[in-house]
Amino acid sequence: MKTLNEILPTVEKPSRYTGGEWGESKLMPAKFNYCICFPDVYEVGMSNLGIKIVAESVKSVSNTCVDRCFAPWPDFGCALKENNIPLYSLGLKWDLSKFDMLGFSLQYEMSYTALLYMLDLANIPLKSIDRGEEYPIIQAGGPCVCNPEPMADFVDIFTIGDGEEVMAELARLKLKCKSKREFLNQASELDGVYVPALMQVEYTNDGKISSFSGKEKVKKALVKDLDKAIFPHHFSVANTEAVFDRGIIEVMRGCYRGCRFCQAGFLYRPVRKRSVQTLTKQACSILNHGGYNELSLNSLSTGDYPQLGELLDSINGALPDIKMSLPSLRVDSFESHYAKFARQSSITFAPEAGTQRLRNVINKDITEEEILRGAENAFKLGYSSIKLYFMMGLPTETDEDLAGIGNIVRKIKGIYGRIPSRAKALRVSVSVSTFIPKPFTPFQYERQISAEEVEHKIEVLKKELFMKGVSISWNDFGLSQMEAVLARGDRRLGAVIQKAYERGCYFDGWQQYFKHDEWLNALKECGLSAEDYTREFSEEEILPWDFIDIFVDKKFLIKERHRALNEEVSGGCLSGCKGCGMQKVFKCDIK
Amino acid sequence: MIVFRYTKTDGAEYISHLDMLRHLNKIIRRAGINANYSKGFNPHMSIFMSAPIAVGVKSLSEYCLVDCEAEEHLFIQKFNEHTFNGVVCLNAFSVNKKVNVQGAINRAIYSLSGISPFDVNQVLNAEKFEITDKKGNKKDVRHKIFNLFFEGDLLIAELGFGNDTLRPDYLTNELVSRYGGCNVGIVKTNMLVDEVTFDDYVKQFKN
Repeated sequence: MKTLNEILPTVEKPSRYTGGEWGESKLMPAKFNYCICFPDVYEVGMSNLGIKIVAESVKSVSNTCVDRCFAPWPDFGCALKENNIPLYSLGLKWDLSKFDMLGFSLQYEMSYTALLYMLDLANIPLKSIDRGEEYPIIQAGGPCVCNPEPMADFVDIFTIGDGEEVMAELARLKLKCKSKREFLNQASELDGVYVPALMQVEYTNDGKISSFSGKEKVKKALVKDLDKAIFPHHFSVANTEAVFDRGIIEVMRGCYRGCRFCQAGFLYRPVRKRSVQTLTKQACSILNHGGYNELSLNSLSTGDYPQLGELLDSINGALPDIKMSLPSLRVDSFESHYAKFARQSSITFAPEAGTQRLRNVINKDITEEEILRGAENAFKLGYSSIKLYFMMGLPTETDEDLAGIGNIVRKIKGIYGRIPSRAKALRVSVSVSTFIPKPFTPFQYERQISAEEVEHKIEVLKKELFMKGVSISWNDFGLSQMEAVLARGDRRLGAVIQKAYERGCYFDGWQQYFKHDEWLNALKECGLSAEDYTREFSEEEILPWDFIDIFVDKKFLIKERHRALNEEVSGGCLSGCKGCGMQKVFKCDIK
Repeated sequence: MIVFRYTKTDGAEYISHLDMLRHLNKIIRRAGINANYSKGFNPHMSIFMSAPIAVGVKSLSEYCLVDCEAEEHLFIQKFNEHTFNGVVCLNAFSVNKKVNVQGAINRAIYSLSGISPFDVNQVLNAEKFEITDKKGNKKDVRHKIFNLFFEGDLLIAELGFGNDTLRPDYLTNELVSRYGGCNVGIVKTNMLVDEVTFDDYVKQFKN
């Protein structure tokens, strides 16, 4: 048996497991000890803004202690298991089983098995039903829990929607309650809380849902005033380089556009903004405290922030030497004013579809001229590399739409050729991902394309994009298929996830560890198939996530789907309210 | 320009060399020390570190040169107010030329614990001393061992560093396999330019 000190020098990046980062205060155990568990590796988790906000929210309640734990990379995980060392938190260095509550952040469907992996390493029974009062309460939040059903067997309590307020409420409630049972019963009354044990699902003979029993609808938690919402004053600086080694501020939550494939666009409705003054203050506090020289202005579409110019000038005035990155800039919102702050050589646009017809179907209301103008502006500023994101397998897509991708690339190359002062040859990277019909989007009913269709589409694209200076990449079909299954799944998938984990599936989001065959075998063993979940859902059937209310009407989603199939553009919120249902609970501020 | 000596202990020994460079950058930025930057498209702080040590080896003697104007005691104070666990600035020297912290240092002193007592002359008087490296190759490293002696239970080793380095963990493993014991911990205690400590070497360039 080896000790931790003997193991650490033998594993990759041991500083992932030592804690003691700048910005992490020394922890003292309190009456309520909560550990945020991130089911991915340290570098990814340390970059996540959501868990920082949740930590801040729980910390705001007195008598609480908030610790952190990240999924250990397989080399360290195996060493812990072989030497019988339970997974521990980074602050208190406690075994996870000692905490009152473990909070998992589910950012990506393929991290579901990592939750099981972490529980297993901590010697905590995987299923809720096997965990008595002596074990911590397992809580989960994050965007994936908008359909919590696949993880219902493992998680005691889900928090759905914005975490800022509900997490503090849960902490206060936990401090009052004497037993796990009492806590779960009382918590289930709160908005944004779902306790799976208190709801039963009935299925028909053909595997479709016939009814839910329990709480009628679980409403998502909604922070109405983002400007006043809790936000960390500083970030801790990761020991080893985090994937986003920079300060992050959240400019807006929600998106005005209404792209029909985009789950985040519907989940995070309505659009809420922070003021220029608040954002500048937050940026200064985070950057000065951490010593970062780069700031990321996050939101789903930063270019749509109404006072973006003012914000950039304000931050630039307060912090003159820093580099600002503006992710999620839309083609039509890309202006030279913004680009000059970025100091980068590569620009990314996401036209998503190759032809105007298909862009109309997905409600991406940008024209080819706008894409080309955006590219031209970037080239004039000295950009010599462009990344283009597209999707394949969108509803109604034909080979002609794929050929459209080739046309756009040819025109972009032509524009670059006409720019007088070109320092380098143009590089175009085209990235194509397989469309996944996600819950709470108008496309939630659509089917996902098959492996054969993907193969054919890639062949077409390879021919279309066989040009000098153009590279094409696409993601693994198996991964997209399993992502679709887990995103659209029901409670029956719990057994599949457990079987897959037992067959060695974890860190599925990392290509080298993804085992498609094992997942298919796990499905088969449980009498299911991937097609049960990637098929087209009928508009009449009860969907596994129908008991969750994100305040967007189902009727609106169906109406949008019909408009999509008729190739009609609805536009976004800025061109007038489309009546998605949000206005019933929130007064949208559209300026 | 400032040359400073800092530690890597209390968990910081697991931080890799490149990550340490990023951390030093950040510490200097948040301490408000005005360092100079390169003038390129992506400006970098003018900062130079001594040669890397193996991850997991603690150190009381790491050096770094940063191109800035600062008073020595203020530099130490600001640095230590903005640093994190295990990285502490012990000394700072304001110098008048760019001291080559990487190239000049050619020896390091380590204290190795856990090795069973043995007669060090068996190594020092031998013509050859072979160790096995990471790839499993045998190498003669006798010329990289300048001194070995016991100080209580600790074995003090003066080894080649920089261009002709001998990793202390490889030496420890070899000594453990020959004489018994186990590798309990390695601490780098000082760095030398030939026989002179680096602190004394830097003093000749002081402002």
